[in-house]
Amino acid sequence: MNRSDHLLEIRNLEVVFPTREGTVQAVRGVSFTVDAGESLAVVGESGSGKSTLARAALGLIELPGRIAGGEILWRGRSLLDKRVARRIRGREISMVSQDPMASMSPILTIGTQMTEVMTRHLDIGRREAFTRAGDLLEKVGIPDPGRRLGQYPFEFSGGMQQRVVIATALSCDPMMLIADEPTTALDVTTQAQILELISSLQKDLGLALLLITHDLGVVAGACDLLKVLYAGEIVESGTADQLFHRPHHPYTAALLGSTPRLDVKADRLMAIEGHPPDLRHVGGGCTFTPRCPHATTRCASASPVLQPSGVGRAYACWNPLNGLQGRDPSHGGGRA
Amino acid sequence: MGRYLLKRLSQAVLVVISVMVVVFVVTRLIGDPVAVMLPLEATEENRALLEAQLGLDRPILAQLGDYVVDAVRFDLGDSLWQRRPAMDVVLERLPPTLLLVAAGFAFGVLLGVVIGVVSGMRPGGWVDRAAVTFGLLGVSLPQFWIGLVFIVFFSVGLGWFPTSGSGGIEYLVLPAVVLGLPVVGRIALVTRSSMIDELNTQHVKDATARGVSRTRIVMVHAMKGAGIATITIAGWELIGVLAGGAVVVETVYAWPGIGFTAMQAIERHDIILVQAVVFVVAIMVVTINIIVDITYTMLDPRVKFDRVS
Repeated sequence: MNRSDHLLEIRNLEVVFPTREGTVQAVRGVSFTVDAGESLAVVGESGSGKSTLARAALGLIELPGRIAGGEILWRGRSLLDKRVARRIRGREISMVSQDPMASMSPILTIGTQMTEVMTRHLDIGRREAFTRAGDLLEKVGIPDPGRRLGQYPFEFSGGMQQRVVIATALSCDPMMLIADEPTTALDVTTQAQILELISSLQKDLGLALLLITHDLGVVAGACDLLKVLYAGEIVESGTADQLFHRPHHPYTAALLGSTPRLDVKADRLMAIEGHPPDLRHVGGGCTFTPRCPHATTRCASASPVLQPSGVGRAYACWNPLNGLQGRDPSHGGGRA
Repeated sequence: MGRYLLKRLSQAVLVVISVMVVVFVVTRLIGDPVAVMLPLEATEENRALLEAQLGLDRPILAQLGDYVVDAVRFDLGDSLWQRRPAMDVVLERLPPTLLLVAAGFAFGVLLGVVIGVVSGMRPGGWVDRAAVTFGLLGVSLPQFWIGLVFIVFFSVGLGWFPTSGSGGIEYLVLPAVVLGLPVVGRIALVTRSSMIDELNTQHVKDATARGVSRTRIVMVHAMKGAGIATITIAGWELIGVLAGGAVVVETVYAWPGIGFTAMQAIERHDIILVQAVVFVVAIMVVTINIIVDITYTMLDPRVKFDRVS
C-alpha cells in the first residue's frame, strides 16, 4: 500500500462508463491532493467529469461505471477497497449534493435521516443522536430544531433543506466535506447564504473542502485552490487568485469570460463556442483545440501534459496566455 | 380524519346499495327460480302459488323496494334452497372462507414481498430472472387448473394432502397455496419494480454517500417507499382473492365457504342466497378499500386526509 501524507490523494484516476455506443472516458488521468483544512474547488462544465470525480473520492462509482486505473488514497488507505470506503463514508468524508429536495427520502423524518448516520458511525444511542441532531440544526441556522426534527423534507424550503443536508454531513465530525454543486438548485439569494455557511463551517471546524461546481462565481471567496477540469482532465490548477487574475489556459480564460460580473460592464456575456468533445472518441491532441481561439496545428496533433509553472501552479497548454512562453520554441508566441 | 372517514363510509354505503341493485336485477333476468324449485309435472296453478308465496308476482320495483328496506335490517330473505334465512347460511359459511383467504393471502403477500425485494436488489441477476419467471407463471396460470394439477400431484400422486374437503390443517394447505399463487406473482412483480425504482433514486444514492448502510437503505429507505405500491396492489389482491379466487378454489377443493356456497346457490337458482353472498362480500370489499387508503397515510406523510378529501 502506498503511503501518503495527504488527507486525500488521487493519482492518475481513470473512470470509464461502457455504453452501447462505446466507452465513455469520464475521468482521464486526474491527479490531485487535498490536505487537512484546505479548500479546493474543481470547476468544469457539464460532462467534464467533475461529479464522477466527487463520487469517486467517496469510493462510489455506480454501475456500469468503473475505475479503470489509478488510485484514491484517504490518509494512505485505498478507497477502492469497499470495506475501507464503507467505514470512511459519512464518518471521515461526507458529502452535500446538488438538489437538497432530492437528497433525502421524502417519507422519513429529518430526525430519522440525521440520526441514522450517527448511530452507525458514532458510539451513541438514538436519544443522544437526536440531541446532537438538534444542536447541529441550530448551528446551521434552523430555528426550533426540536419541532423540525419531526418533520419531513417537503416541509422545508430548498435553502433550509440544504442546511439540513449540511448539518447531516457534519454530524460525525468529518475531516473532509465534498460539496457537489451545493447551490445549483437554489435561488440566488439562498445560494449566497449557503455558500457563506459552508465557508464559515469549513473555517470554524478546520474541515478540508472539495467543492465541485460549474460556476466560477461560487469559487471566489469559498476556496483557496482551484482546478479546472475539461473533458475529464485537469487543464489548469493554482490558487483561486492566480487563476482569476492571470489564467494561462485559454479554457480558464473563456470560463472567466463567461461568468457574469458586477464590477465589469459588459453588454453581453462571452459564451464558449462549440461543445465539449465526445468522450467516447478521444483522439490525440488537446481536447480543447476545436473551441480554442489560440489553437495551432500542433494542438490538434499532440496532447499537452500538465506542466508546473511556479509554486503550486500548473497548466496543460501549448500556447498559454498572460506572459508565459509556449514550451515549443517553434510556436512560441506568449500572449501577454 | 373524522370527516374523511364519514365521507368514505357514506360512499361505501352507496357502493353496496348499487351492487345490490345490480345483482337484484341480474339474478331476475338470468333464470326462473320457480321453474327450478318445482318438479317438472307442476301445473300453472302450482307455479302461480309459489310465485305468490315468494313475492315474485309483484312488480319488480316493488320487490326491489322491499328488498332494500329489509337489507338495511340485514334481513335478506329466506334461502330458496335451504328454506332458512339466507344471512344465517352465509354467516355460517363465512369463517371457513375467512380462514382460507387469510392463509392464502398471507402466503401470497409474504412470499411475494420476499421474492420482490430480493430480485429488486439485483435486477438482471439469476435470482431476479428466476423470480420474474415464477411471478409470471403465478399470474398467468388459471387457478382451477393449478388446483387440479396440485390434487393430481400432491394428493393422488404423493399422498401428502387430502384431495378436498375440510378438517385439520392438512386440508387447508393446498387450497391456500393455490389461492395465494397469483398473489405471490403480482406482489413480487410490483414490489420488484418499485424496489428497483427506489434503489435508483437520488436520495438512496445520497444516503449511500452519507454513510447509511446498505442493509438500512434496503430495509428502511427503499422498502418503505416500495411499500406504498405494494400495499395498493395487496389491497386489490385481497379483494380479488375474496371475491373471485375463493369461489374457484373453494369449488375445486369443496371447501365449505361462501364461495362454494355461491356456486351451489347459482346452480339451484337460489337468487336470495346469491344476493346474500354478494351483499356480505361487497361490504368486505369496501371495508378493505377504506383500510388500504388509511394505510397510505401511515406510510406516506405526503398524503393527508384533508388533501385527499
